[in-house]
Amino acid sequence: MTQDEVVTNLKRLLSERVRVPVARAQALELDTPLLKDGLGLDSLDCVELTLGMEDEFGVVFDDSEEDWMHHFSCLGTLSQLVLLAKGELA
Amino acid sequence: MSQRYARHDDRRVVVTGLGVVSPYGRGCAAYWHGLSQGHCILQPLTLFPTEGFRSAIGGQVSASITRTLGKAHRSRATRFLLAAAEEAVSHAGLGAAELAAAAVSIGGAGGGMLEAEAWYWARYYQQQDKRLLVALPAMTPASQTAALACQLHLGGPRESPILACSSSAAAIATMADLIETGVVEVGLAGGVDTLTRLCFMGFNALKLLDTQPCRPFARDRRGMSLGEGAAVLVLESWRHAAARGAPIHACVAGCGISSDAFHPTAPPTDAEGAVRAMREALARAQLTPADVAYVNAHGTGTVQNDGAEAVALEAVFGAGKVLVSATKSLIGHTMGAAGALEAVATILALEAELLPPTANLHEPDPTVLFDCIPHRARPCSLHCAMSNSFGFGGQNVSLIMLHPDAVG
Amino acid sequence: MAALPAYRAVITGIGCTSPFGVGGSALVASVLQANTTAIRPLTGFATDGLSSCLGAEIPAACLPVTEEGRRWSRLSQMTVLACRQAVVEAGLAGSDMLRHTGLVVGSEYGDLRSTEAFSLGFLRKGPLGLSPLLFPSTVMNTMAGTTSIALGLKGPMLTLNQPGVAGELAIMRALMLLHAGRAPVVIACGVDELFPLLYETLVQLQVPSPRERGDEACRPFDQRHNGPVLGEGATAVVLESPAHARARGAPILAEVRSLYWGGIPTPPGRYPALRHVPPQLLSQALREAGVCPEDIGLAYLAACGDPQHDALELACTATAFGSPGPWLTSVTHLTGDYGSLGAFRVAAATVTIGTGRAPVLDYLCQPMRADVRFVVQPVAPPPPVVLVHGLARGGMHTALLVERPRDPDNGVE
Repeated sequence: MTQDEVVTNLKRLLSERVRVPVARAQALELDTPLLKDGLGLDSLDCVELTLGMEDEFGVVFDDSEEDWMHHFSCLGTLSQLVLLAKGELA
Repeated sequence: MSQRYARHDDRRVVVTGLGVVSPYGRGCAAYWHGLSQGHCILQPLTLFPTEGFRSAIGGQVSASITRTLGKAHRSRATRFLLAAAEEAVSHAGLGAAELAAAAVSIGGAGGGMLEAEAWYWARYYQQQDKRLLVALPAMTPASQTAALACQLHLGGPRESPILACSSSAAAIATMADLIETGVVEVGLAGGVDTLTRLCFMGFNALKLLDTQPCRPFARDRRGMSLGEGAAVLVLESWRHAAARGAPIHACVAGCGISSDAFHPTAPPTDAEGAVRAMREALARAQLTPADVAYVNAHGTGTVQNDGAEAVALEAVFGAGKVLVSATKSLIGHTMGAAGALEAVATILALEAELLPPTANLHEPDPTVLFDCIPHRARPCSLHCAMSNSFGFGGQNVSLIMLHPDAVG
Repeated sequence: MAALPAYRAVITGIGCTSPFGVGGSALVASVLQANTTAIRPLTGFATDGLSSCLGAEIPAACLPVTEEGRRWSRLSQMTVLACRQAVVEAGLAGSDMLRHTGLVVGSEYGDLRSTEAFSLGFLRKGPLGLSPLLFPSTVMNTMAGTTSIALGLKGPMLTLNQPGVAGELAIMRALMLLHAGRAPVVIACGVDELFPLLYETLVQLQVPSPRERGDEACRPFDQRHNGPVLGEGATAVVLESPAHARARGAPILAEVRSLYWGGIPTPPGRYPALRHVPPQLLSQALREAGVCPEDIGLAYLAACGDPQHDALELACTATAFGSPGPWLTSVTHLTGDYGSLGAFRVAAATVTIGTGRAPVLDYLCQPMRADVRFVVQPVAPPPPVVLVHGLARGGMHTALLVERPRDPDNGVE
């Protein structure tokens, strides 16, 4: 799976699961902040998104790590998380 | 900014009856035995299928206990509630005339949802059973209150407050207001919640449940454990109780109610709403933080809640200035019933001069600057204790109880 | 229960999310003026195969999707809009006072729509189909929680679950919060919504009209009555002490106090039998409140259209007031019936106090009783006192008095 494919699916998940307006989600760049200084996602949104990603990509995340929220900084970091979980990254 | 309400001494609110159904069994004696022994009763759930979910343990009232709780055709919640109320009213020695004028306020989040789920699940799988339709009128929490009012012939004001985890604490606080302002002399206040698929699935989905029995205030705490039960308190004006020679278990000295207005599920890190609720309770009780020896904490075992609560306790009492323990470590989070069950635990602790422990506290969180009474109950002679409930949606209720000897 | 009516508060703002639109007291006034029903065949969801198809629903255009409300359920959105409107009308928008303001929300069914959606997620897809975002909405305090966040309300916040009189109950508890000094201002809101599962299930339980008897219609107190027609809405009123309102120069629309708040022990889901309703209940409450029955010019009844309920309400009022008694009216033929409609009744009573206008029961052709008088033409002049009466399944019984604001030099607080 490529990063582009992952990002396409993440944008769709943002709309379907977290109710970000479709146009807004589609317009996100890889480095657009997703959390409170940007799109405004909070911890509840991230829990929803995590479950959505697990379902969408067939992976299981360990969200107990201390810096878990960092992965949600932008689509760039989030897509890297997915690719790592799918074993697509070294 | 709440104003101090000028209260006449004879309108102080006292507790004259207690009734409980808990995972330990039916009755206050079984409840206190479990708490005082520090017996953590969190076990694998058997009430409904749990396959596929990370956490599947909780404080479940066993089938053998439930079988003794009245008519089987009633909802589980109604059966728990009626049994708890029956005990409370019997201990208080209330007669028909007093009950006819009594108010009732029962908090709860789920109501008869367990039976409504069974109906909905059957409907989804097209196995519709019209008999299950009868579950629907009992679905909302108000139906438990109505069932109790009907059973005991209660004719006074009636309420079913729903404040998530703070529901039954709010029932106690608002009932105390009715008595203090002279609207009624006697009221039954409490709460009930059963385990439900909805609650089980929801907290699993939010990843707020520990796979092990919860560890409030522990360094390695990983979330809540679920529970179920019911508790009812008979509240009365001191004047009315004294006139009829009623037994007085405690005085509800002051209650605080506040909102965070912050987030649907998380508390603010400065816990300012919780601080306000505690300070309001103290102000209404005309007490200072130094008067409080023990706090029965909300103490769910989640990283965020316990951390915020510790911040709030430090702000109000000062680090280490009060003993703290979490009943949820023993019986789980009983949702809408928690406030009342924990108020009862606090009152029983005052009477017994013994503070129930926090279970599973092998390695206390060093940032929680309080003695959280690990493992074993602690003898303690005390006059005043606080019980806190800080619910989903930022609903904070703080109750202050006085030992009857302190009620002059 | 003499202490109950001792505390008076004033209504300083009204907000509604309704089938007639979103607005404040002007909207309520226009509803009473037009006296046009919002009941029509439902379009928001299919009713094929059901024996009922009517309802009064809020148009989708009244509830647009907004960025602020991205996570709000429909019911929470209805509540936020109504409370926000009431706050604006009370002159509190953007005020620091909101940080100390309390909120009481009354509802019969809460956000069951979200509960169903959450459950369906699991049934369709197992644990991975669950929505953590949706789960908080499955607890009935979600509407109050959402509103408190949206408006910054940090005072005491309560949600009260109650069939039939949830709106009245929210107001009564709000009065108690004020009386107990827990907040200087409290917003009381009643909210319930129509949604497919609820409608279908209530029809299966033979709750709404026509119940296999006659045609489907909303006709409270008419001999042709055969059950309620369902509606939905959110109505909020801002309440504070008269002194507090005057001190901040707030508009005072009416005074309100609780007259009676009690319960007749009745199995859940059923109406009490008439023989169990103490006949002197309302008369005694009026006496204890120092109110002469003759002072009450008009009464808003709950009027759901259920024959047993209609008979009970009329019996209560006829016994309390004798013949002919006050003019009797209701809003149900305009709004449809739902458990928290009482808040709209109080809002309507507030407008009636100010304008004299009251809903006309123009559908009433065969009144159940001849010894009471129904509003069949607009009432004038404005009555000084209006009674708002409620009687619910399960036996809860309430009565509120809405009155002309009193002269501050004469009033007792």
